[in-house]
Amino acid sequence: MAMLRAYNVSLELPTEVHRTGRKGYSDLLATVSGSVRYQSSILSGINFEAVDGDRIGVMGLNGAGKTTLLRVLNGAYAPTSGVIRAEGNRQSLLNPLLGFSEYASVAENIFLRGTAMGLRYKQLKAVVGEILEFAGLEERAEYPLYALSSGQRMRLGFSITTAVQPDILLMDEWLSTGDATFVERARERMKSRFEGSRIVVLASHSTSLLRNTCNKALVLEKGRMAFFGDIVDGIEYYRDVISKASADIRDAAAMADPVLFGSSQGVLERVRLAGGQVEVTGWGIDDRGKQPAVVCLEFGGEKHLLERFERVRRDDVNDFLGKRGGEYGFKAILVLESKIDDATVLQDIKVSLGPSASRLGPPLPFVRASVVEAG
Amino acid sequence: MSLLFRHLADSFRKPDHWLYAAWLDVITRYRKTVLGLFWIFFPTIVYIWGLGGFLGAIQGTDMHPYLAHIGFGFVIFRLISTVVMEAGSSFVSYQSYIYEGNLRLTDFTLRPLFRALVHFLFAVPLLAIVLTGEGGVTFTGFAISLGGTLVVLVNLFFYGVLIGLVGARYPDINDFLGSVMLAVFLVTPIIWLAEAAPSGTLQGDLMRANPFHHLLAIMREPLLGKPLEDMTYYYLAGMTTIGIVLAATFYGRFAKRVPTWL
Repeated sequence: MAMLRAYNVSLELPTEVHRTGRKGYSDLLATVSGSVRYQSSILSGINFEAVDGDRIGVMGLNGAGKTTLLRVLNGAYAPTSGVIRAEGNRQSLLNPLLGFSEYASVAENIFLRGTAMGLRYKQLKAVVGEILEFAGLEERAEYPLYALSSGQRMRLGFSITTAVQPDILLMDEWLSTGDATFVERARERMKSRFEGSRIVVLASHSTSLLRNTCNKALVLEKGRMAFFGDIVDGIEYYRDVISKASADIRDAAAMADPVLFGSSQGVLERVRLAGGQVEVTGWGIDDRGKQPAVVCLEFGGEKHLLERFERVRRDDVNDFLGKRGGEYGFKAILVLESKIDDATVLQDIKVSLGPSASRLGPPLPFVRASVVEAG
Repeated sequence: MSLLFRHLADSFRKPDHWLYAAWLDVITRYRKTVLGLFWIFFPTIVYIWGLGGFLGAIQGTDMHPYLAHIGFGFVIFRLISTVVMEAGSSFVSYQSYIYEGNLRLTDFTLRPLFRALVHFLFAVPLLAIVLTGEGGVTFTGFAISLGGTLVVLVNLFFYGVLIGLVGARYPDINDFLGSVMLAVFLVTPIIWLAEAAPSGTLQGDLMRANPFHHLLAIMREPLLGKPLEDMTYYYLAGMTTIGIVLAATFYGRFAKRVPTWL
């Protein structure tokens, strides 16, 4: 019976700050002025309970505290307040390159890394062949580590760390490198490790991965636990977090993750700047396949939400989407309050749609025939 | 307070990683060189027959006992000073292990300690060569020296833990020890003889206040057939007790906070 609980856990860590001086970031004198150390709150309000069979996906933007949370759960950081309780042996796979030595051979590195994880030398002797085989490095066993490419190293690290089956598995996502065939094999093994472990905590940006493997979600927002519960609701919540962020982040998230934004699609066809107003024309559906309720224009680092815009019935779009009715075309006009350089607007304008201001999809693509004009 | 001893016992119960890693640390260092493991003997050769031969010649002393004196002095001092100088960064260097949840910090003190011991053991055959010219080692001398080696290792471990804890919070100690150990080499009787600082004189008192002199003396003097002052025993007994108590107290209080300091 494995168990992992966090009661009201918060964590403060000392941070060092180097003053940049009066001249801003280029003050040379300030470089010798020393640094200031103060406590800053990294995590707060972490409250959850996991029992046998739970797979928790940890989500959050960069810097939200995902890795730090895993370090609290694996025991490295003692919570500033609150309690962590764990039953069952914990294995954390945060750093795939832990314990490697450049000048030691691949086989020797298996023993180094393996013993660093707490395995016995004798245990490793029995599985070293298997590890090499899984990594596809049998012929390289006697080569020094520095002769391996970074992809090969990741493969080696992955093979060693997943050679054992822990009760509680804590993972940071690092299954990103490696060739396609290895990634496939790695996924297979992860699946079996996932199923073998009683509790898994996996931090990842990939919601499709989390949706397929986890049953619970923990969403971090600037170190605070903002959500804990069912994975489907968790992904919804995380979507909202991303929607509040800028269009670039949304775009990156949507690129990495088609699942996150469902099948929202559309095209931006025309951007026109005239008489102090921006006019955008195009069509699109939201992630539920419905007419969008909000059009968001983003340029010059600012977001402009438009809830009132003209809907246009477009037969070509209806045919394309296979819909009988509905007005999926839009023509939105934003009146500019202050004078903005035309070029800035036209260069980096991003238009996105959604059912509400907090559920915006990724920016709409420009098609080749799009018209951008000023005048 | 007992946390340190519990971790130490665990480290010895499961020595696989620090033992194997320390051994590889030493061996792999010479892998890229053409002469390979020859270089592990080289510093000792330079100090005994190079520096020792030169200094012995210009001082006009009896060569054989002087070579043994400087040889043992150098090899033992290197064991001690390497550990002391590396101790300050021992937890910092292995922070990725610590972040992975490996909180048995004794492993990270034992690894550099054992590394230095491997270097020491590789020098032993050369020391044996130097000793063959001497009158012969008595059994008691050998036994005391062996016991002394154990005392030195115990001290290196506990003071290593202490310096490691300080170094995790205040890396300044690395700069301090790095500079000081060079000076300590010269104020400890390694290239000069302890007889030059007889008891009762100012230089004698200064020499006897230096802990490194006593650590060195208990390993070296019995083997070379020289008398060991009673004071060395008292000094080391006190130093060991203080080291164990301080290390255990500080470790119990601060070991958990080390990860946040790194």
